Amino acid sequence: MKPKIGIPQALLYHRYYPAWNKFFEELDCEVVDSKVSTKETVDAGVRLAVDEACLPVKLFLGHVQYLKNKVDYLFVPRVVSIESKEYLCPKFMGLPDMVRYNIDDLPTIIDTTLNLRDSKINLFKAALEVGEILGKGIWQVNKALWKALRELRKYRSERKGKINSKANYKIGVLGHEYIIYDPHISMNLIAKLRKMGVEVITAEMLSKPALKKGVAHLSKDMFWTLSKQMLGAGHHFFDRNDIDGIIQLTAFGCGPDSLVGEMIEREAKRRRKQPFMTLNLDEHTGEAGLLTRLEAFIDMIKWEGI
Amino acid sequence: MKAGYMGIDVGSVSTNIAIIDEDKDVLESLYLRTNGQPIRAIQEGLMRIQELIDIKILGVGTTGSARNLAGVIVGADVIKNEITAHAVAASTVVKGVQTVLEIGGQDSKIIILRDGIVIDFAMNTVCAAGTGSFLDQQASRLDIPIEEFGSLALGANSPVRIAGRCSVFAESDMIHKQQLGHNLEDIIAGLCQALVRNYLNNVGKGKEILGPVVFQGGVAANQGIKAAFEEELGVEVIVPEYHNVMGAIGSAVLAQSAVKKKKSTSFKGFDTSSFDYHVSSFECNSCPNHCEIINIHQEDEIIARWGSKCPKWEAV
Ligand code: SF4
Ligand code: SF4
Repeated sequence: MKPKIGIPQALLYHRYYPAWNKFFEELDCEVVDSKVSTKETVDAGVRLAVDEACLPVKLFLGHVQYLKNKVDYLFVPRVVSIESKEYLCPKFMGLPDMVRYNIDDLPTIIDTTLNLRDSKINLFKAALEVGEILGKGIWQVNKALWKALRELRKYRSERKGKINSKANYKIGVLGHEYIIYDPHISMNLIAKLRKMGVEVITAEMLSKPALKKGVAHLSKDMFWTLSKQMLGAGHHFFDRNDIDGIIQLTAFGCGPDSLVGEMIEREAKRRRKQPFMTLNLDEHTGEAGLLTRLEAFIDMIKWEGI
Repeated sequence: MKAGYMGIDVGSVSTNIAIIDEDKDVLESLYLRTNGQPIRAIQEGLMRIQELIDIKILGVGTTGSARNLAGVIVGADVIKNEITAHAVAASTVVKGVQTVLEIGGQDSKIIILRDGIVIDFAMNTVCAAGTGSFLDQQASRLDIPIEEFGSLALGANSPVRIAGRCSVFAESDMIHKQQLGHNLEDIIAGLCQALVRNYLNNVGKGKEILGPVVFQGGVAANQGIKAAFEEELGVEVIVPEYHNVMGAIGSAVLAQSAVKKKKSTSFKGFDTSSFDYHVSSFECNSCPNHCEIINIHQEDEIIARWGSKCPKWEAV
């Protein structure tokens, strides 16, 4: 029987899942994901996590809880860095520990360290380490990694082509992709906006050079990859004349957001070019209040006075 | 018989109705407590309006947290969020308004306009320290009617500084100041200033407040708060005559322009008030979201439904 690998559908899952799925399938495993977040996942996460944890980490724990009795292995890599000379937020480094510390009766955790800060070769090393845990040889791992990377490239270019240019209004949405693309905690933000007749653009749909250009003006390099991406997307939106408004989603309890979110908001105020709104999400955020704000924001963009 | 447009604002605390004519002048207005029963409040409001004025309704708009419910019951031509409705009302009543301060019983908002267009806004999220309920609490604590609060505040010589970051702290600080022997007027004026500070630090944080400033919502009746705003902002603060039904006025104005486009109204008539409406709910157990689905019935027929996080129950 194929070993079952559980992948929690939270945090970096949204960025890498096609690659992760492919990789494990190529290593003769059955991938079990934890399904789209629901109220139950959030509630479980909130119960398990310490109060200070950010909302996405709480959600991650909820997904682990859902999976833990259904699989032989849980894939919770310790991701230190995914870009040269940069880091992810410290929560990603501590993720396997947070899982072990807060949840009992866990299956084997694959907590391989991924650190591409100094060298991309470390990706191959990490893949070999995972292969070793599953008893797979170097050739099989190599091939699996290669196929996984191909999936990832395909996924990324698909996302970039997703923009519907026929809509009358375009809104740039800033925020961690594991919030924006989680329909439950984002309360279906993207679908709601589309229903109101506006097109949504997120950092994931932008090209790497565009994001890079967005942070080119910074006096000091930002070494958190995800925050840098947010900042780059923000500035890219500021510079574009066809973006009618910008909505920033921040997560309650997120350290990097409280800094970078503020930086982006100040810049938006300084430029006074596009309407800008920050929505801070936590597990208690009410859908009615969110909807009122969204509707008012869209009215603001479309309104020509009475 | 006169003709006009009706706006209905159904919030958690109050249900307000306003009737305006073609020139957007207010013909009649009404303020009711919602008391947790929005449907009854809407029906009663319609009945009372009918008694107050003989009018042909050319269009109707709804707003407030129960705007969708109100919309299906009366047959609204336009259903709009309360921020847009308040902004529309303020710029109808005071031409060239650049800032709208709105403080109601449970919530508060700020709207920034430039050249007649909304460019920024904010709503309070959870904290009640910048809303009317803060004043209600302190008034009952001091055992004076809330209506007298404002005029008492104006009689203050040197308002005491009340630490008012949150209503719990404000209360204990107020008791402390009372024990120190400060007179009532000074304490009340201090409370008004505390509320204004809270409001400006929470809802008004980072907003560019320029005149003309319009102050509306239930709390705008309070002279003490108006004076505290003027002192803090250094500009004149205008309280419109119909300050407590501005949401309703705004939705009436929106109804007027909606009907201009669609040519006729969907208003179901005042008979609505004699129908039997009720709400039923059930929990959907098809997935772990366990949504609470709300059905709105007119007599035996379901006329609207909401509450689901997925399209499963969308069709009525
Ligand atoms: S970046 Fe923010 S939201 Fe993401 S894991 Fe770190 S603290 Fe949490
Ligand atoms: S309405 Fe949809 S989302 Fe809600 S519990 Fe039922 S199936 Fe799940």
